[in-house]
Amino acid sequence: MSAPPGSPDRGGGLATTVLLGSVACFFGFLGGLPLPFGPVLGALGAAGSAAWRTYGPGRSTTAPLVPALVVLVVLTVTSPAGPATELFAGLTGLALLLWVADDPARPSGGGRRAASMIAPAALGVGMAWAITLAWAGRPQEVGVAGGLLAIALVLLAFLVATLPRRTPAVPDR
Amino acid sequence: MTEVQRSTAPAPALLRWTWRAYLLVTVGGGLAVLAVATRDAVPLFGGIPLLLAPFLAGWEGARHLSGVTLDWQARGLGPDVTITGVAQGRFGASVVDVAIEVERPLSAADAEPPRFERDPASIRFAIHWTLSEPTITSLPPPWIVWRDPLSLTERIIAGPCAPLLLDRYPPSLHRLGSIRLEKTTPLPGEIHSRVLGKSGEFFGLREASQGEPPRTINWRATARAGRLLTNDYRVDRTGDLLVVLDVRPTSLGPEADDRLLGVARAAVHGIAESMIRDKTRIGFASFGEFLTAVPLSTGRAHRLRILRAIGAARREEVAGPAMRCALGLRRLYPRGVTALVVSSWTEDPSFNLVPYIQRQGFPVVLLSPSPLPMRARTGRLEAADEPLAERLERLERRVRLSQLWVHGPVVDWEDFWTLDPLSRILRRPAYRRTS
Repeated sequence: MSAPPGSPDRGGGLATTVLLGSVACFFGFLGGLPLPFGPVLGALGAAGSAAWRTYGPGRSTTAPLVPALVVLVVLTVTSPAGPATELFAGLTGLALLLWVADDPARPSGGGRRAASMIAPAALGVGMAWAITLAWAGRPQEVGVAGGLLAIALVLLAFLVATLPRRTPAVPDR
Repeated sequence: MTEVQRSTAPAPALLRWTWRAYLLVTVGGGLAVLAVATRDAVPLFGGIPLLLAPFLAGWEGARHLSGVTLDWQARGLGPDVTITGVAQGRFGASVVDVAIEVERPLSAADAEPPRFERDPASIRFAIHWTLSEPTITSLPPPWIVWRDPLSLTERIIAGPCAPLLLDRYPPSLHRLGSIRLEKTTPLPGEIHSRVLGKSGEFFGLREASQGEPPRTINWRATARAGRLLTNDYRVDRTGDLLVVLDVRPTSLGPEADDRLLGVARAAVHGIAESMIRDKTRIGFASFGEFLTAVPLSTGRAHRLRILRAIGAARREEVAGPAMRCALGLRRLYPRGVTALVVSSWTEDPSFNLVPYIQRQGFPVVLLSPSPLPMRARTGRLEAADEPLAERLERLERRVRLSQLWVHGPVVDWEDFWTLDPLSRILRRPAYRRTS
């Protein structure tokens, strides 16, 4: 049974830490680093961030992100281009957002409440990956173009969605 | 004591990105640039969620929440403080992401964790503090902040509005007003008359205030003095009190000075409240480099005047000569008014205001907040040495204060939550007679 909304999450975000570690491990497995190092690095990034968030000094909520971000950068830079690595790079980024939302210092249910932010980001990753698969050409260049196009489309969609709506003018009697 | 403040928030403030958002955008942007530069799509895929999330959080925040109405109050007596309040607004489902932050005074510690009850239209909160010493302070209104679930953006939805006055002084001061102070000594030319006025026996003359009825004007005295004077009667008069607060810097340092001054201000506030409640005339003066004074008076307007003057009393960087204070008091107040001097007395005898004030004709009572409770248990000494050091410091302070007893009774105020010794001294005027 989950904690009621508004109460601190006593689980400490374990589920999302495991999810982030698993996705990062598999991304490391697919990546360009020699086999033992990639998965280990992915697991270490997730474990390091979780440990810092739980036991770290001070009240900074930003610093615990650093290990996971460093690992994400290292893995993406060393990974060869390909549909699988691109997909898992995006999934690792999404898992990181989910882990951020599941902060034990905040009221429980953060992942559910952050769905309105994580879902469009997931849509962007999905669109970019679909473009990469569907379009012909050199995979690297198509991937870059698809990714930029997806970012632009998502931002444009939200810009349009949040524009103030014009109210119909009532004729003056 | 309960004070209620109601404040309505101004228009919602602009959205603010947190450091976490800047970090994500920087890493995501770096990965995107790297991807374009190296023609490698993998970094870009990793960066897409990081780049998008802060903007999505911003849009989420921009369409949430309106202005919030806040009611809050302080309850409790003595060291116990309970702050309760309710923030009302259209929070909706995002009510769990709204945080209420109340600034805690330095002398307060959490007695128990704060409690919050949330529903879509309101947030109720209760905060319990225990004060380590008497305090008079103005609490700024709580910050009501909405943060998105990813903590990437935040928005203050209720900003600085009406502050809440928190005044806690020793409970024994509530009964201080019932003490009949010794009458002020007659002014030169003042006579004791057997003729009773409408309010009792004639007491003296005073300056006529605006709107004074012509029947109360003493026309003969007015003709002699050349200015409007009116009769003052003895009935209900319990004697006047002048409180002198020493705000000069001491060798204890700014931090200890400020804490002691905070305690002294709370005590002065309690004394003034109690005296004014019983219609005693009270004056207030603070002396740092120069003298700042509020004349003798009573009533509700005077209470506010004194409260404002006490609130404005701050430690000054430069110490003026004690003689300046005494001469200023002589010029502003009639001789014979009982002067309660509040000072920590940590310096050499020339620093003391007392002899100078006494020489100007004011009977003096001394109230000295002790720095010892604040200096104890600072962790500078080992546990075994601590009691010995405390004892030595106490003896040294007792010797220093004993030299002041020739001028008037001294209250060494160590237990900050009681002022019974002061009440006893004021109740027994024999102690106040000086040789």
